[in-house]
Amino acid sequence: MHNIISDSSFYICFLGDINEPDTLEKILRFDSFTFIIGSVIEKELNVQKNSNGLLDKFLNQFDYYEYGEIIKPFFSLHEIQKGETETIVISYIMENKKTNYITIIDDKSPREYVRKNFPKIFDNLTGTIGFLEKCYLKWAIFKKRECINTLELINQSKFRIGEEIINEVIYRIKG
Amino acid sequence: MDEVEVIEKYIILLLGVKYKEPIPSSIHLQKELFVLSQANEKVGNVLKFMKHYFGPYSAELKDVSENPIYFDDAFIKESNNKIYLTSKGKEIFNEIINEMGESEKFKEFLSLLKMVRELYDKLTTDELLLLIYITYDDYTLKSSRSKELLKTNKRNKIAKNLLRKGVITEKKYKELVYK
Repeated sequence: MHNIISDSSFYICFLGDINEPDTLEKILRFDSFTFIIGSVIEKELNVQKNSNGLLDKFLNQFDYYEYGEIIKPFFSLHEIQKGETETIVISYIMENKKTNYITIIDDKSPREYVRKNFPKIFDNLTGTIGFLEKCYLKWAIFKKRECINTLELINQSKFRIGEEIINEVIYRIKG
Repeated sequence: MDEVEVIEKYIILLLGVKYKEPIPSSIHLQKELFVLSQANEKVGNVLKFMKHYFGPYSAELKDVSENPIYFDDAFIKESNNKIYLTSKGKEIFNEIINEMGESEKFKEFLSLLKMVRELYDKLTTDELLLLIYITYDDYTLKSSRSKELLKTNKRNKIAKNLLRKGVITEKKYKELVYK
């Protein structure tokens, strides 16, 4: 069982950027995953139009604390609003609890922060594209064609990722 | 439980999660517990912070940290301004852990305390105050200290140090420098 802690860009990628809520649902439904979000990401996702109750159904909310507040002074306003701080603090708690977890953060700046300050979390850190690759190669959530189609859709969308990264992943998936 | 006792326990817990190392100064103690009060309503209900020249400040926390009533030998402030947990304090810390340790929320709270110590202890007072002034402007009364730290040259110098130490993100650095 893996706890998955992601910033909002992962969810918005499927709900907004490529408009593929069914693909997201397939991932959220996977038995070995428990998706966790805090209050900042919940607010961010509530404005997404096509979530169709997906988020209420599959996401476990951590709402006892305002987790992101703990490291707020070290992050830009935009990073805080995207839920980067909340994602890192919840991951830190998971690390301390010695549970299995995966952290998904796409932006370079917070990823670099994690690498420098929390190397153990960094070992469990991936991006949306890397996570999708594992969804196919490690957990077989998708068929090969399905996964490649999703990656190609992301490549054509406004989701911010280098084309060469996506092409490398597609190359590995094609085997 | 009396609020003073609760505040004393917060101090013991904050020191205890990293008991071998002192909290660098009273300013660090104030800001570390302030940040926790922002994350946890319960802490915020007990510790009230007000606007101050050094950013958010709790007079009660100052009193309790200097003149504890319930656990009078649990922590000490040395002449170098650092705050240490004593061996008696460590025993009290362990007692609290034994009493509360099974609660998931308490375990999370301990993780938050630990994270706060790991990140804020390594800041110099100037670095800490600059980040606090910028992040919690509403809690800051203008003072000669804040004016000095917020001057472009000084702010940029501190921001560069923070980035070099890796304790702020690159985007935060840009926000500090170009604000």
